[in-house]
Amino acid sequence: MSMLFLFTGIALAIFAIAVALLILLIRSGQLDDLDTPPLRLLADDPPVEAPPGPTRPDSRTPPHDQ
Amino acid sequence: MTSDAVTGEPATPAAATLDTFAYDNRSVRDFIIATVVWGLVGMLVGVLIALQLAWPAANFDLPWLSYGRIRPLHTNAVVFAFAGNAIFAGFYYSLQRLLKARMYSDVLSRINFWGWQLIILAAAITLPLGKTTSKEYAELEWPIKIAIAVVWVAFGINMIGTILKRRERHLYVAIWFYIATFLGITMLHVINGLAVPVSFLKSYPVYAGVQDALVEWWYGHNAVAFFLTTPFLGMMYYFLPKAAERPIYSYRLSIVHFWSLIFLYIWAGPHHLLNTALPEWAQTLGVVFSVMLIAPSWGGMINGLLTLRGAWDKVRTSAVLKFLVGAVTFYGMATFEGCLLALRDVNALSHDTDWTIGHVHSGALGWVGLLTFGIIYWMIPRLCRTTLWSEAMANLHFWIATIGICIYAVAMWIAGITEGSMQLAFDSNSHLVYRDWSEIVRATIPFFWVRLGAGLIYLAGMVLCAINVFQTICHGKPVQDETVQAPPLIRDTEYVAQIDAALSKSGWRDFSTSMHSLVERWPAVMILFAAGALAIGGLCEIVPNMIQGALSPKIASVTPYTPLELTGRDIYIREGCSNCHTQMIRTLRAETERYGGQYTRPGEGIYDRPFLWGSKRTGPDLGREGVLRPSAAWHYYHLQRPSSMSTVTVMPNYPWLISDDMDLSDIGTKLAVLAGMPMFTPYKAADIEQAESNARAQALVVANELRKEPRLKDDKDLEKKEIVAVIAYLQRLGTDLGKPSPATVSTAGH
Repeated sequence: MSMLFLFTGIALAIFAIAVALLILLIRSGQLDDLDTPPLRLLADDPPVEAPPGPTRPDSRTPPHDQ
Repeated sequence: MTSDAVTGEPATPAAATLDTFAYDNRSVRDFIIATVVWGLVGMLVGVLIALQLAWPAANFDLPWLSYGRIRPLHTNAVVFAFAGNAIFAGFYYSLQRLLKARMYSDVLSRINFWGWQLIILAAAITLPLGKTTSKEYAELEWPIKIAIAVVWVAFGINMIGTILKRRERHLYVAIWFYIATFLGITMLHVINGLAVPVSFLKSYPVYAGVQDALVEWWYGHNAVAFFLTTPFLGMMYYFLPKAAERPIYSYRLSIVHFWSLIFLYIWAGPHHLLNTALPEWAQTLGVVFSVMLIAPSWGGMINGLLTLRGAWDKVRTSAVLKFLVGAVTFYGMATFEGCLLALRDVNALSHDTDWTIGHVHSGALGWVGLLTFGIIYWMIPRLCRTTLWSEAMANLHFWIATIGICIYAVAMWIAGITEGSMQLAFDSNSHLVYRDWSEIVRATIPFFWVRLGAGLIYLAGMVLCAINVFQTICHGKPVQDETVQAPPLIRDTEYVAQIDAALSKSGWRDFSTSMHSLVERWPAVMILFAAGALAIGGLCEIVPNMIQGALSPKIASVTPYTPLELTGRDIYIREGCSNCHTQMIRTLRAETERYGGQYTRPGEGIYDRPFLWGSKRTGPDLGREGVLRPSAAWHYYHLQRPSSMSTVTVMPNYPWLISDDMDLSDIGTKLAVLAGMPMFTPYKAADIEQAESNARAQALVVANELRKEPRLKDDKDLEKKEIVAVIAYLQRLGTDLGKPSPATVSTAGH
């Protein structure tokens, strides 16, 4: 049963770290803008029907057939 | 764009140029088709085994159609094939759009797709052949496990590569869930899969008994967490706002949801082993964390449902929203039920009964299934530049599926609570009311039929989905590469400067501010933190238990299996007996009363590789079978035709055990593997050398015992048959504790 005490200690330590990280997250101001990311998601990509000029191939873009 | 980035000066306004690139829609479409196909297959197999439980003759006495072998096929097909392909489809679709980037590598995408399908095919072949490790949700043998690891890592590289070349700085919360999925499953799969091969499709796990049980259920529970929860939550955070055309109710809550969920989930595994030989502290830990899980689970559910504030009218017409709302609701119900089932006293009633099966299906059919259908109906018209072929049919599918799940769950609740109460019931004289297991089976069979009906209803919905998807693809114009434009990500020169600044700052607040922005914006650091959180949870539960296992006194009378018993045990594993029979007499009076007076001790299983505790008692526990039923002839007739020995039974016949010769060709290798690193089973060199002849000698003893039966006395080949090995194993089960020995009971934890 002594293991349980060790375990409780470890569990509490992990929670302390988690809480610290969360406080850090909040204090740092990184989470101040929680409005833009969820709104940005809603905007659809406008389809590019006719690529301008003779296709400028992106190095990552295979030619597309439309 | 690449040349722009190289030649362009930092002063060039980034918005002036747009990158033109294309989303990979082909992979998404392929994964969707695979989801639908494997969904049909997996659910069809589910319906077949449901029929077999009500009517065992439905296996036509064919080994490869018997319940024990194809039950794992059903679970693997619906979890890894249906849900797995849905995960990949949803990830590939949303990841590209959230990050404004094509998948990192088309080659890896292809490897991911075809590799995964080949693995499923390998599972569909090997499982009916009885090639199984018997560890639930990890049944596939070692070569397939390695293939899974390779393909999974290919997927991971593809995902992380996409994250690294993204055009959107902020990682939307869905992607955090995706990263956790990849890391969690990688860790679980590797740790639980550690085994030493004996031959091409046979291996023994490095863990034994209690340790193996803990590792397996740490895996099993977290496979639910990281394969059926986090990926689907991530997809909920993408597809639900999209379909509702509303931002998520609270982005802040979603972040809290993410961190608390991955911290808590990893600790909850031991709730699968309550009232067993697992040390009590580990059980208690599992209960505490399982109960705490309600907070993030319901936080996520509420976040999903409140997203529809002001948009509920859309649910009336949109099939996609119906499916998503239904899924989130079932998520809430199933997680609440999960907390309830994790309480020690509720678990005493529910464990090993059909209640668990009902719970699993609320989650699998309700949460995973409905969400999968919802996102398929969302994605497929968009991939095909058209509308859904029949919105009415999709709406019908929703109602069919929901009704199917409700009937299924209610039937299994009633069956499970009935089974549990009957197992635990004492009369006023303190005797078990239902000592004969047949009475429990008799009470359950009607609900098996109801469940079959519910399964058929759900499968009918799946067929509608297949038709709808097929027709939508046929009527649309599928676009393989969807060209889009997005501004490039501002190069990271200022970001690198920020890192330097962070490292040189002395003030704590400044430092923490800068460090935090690193965490937010630097996926690698994020991944490291998430991995740390996951690993700590797992290690804290497993490592001390390993050490305690090694240090705790052994039971002197417990000895390794003889070669013949080991052969019998491997046949028991091959036939999937542990799918219906437990070998774990719990520390409850009703159990010790029923099964010979002694509960299962941790020290009894130290040579059990793998452990065979099981998780469902369709038949009675076999942990003390050797004590309770020593008769070889009884087992012979029972395996030949169970209905000849039990008044009511749903156990299938095993005629092939009587007709097939046992294979002793690799018994020496098996013993050598078990005696070697890292298992060190105390077999002597002579034991290994004479393994086959020892097995033959013991087989003759069992066969001669059988020949005392008038009906069997003329059977000349009896000692060569597989059934003799199985009987030897069954006769051994649970007998060690009663053998004379100075230190009979010396166990830790109880």
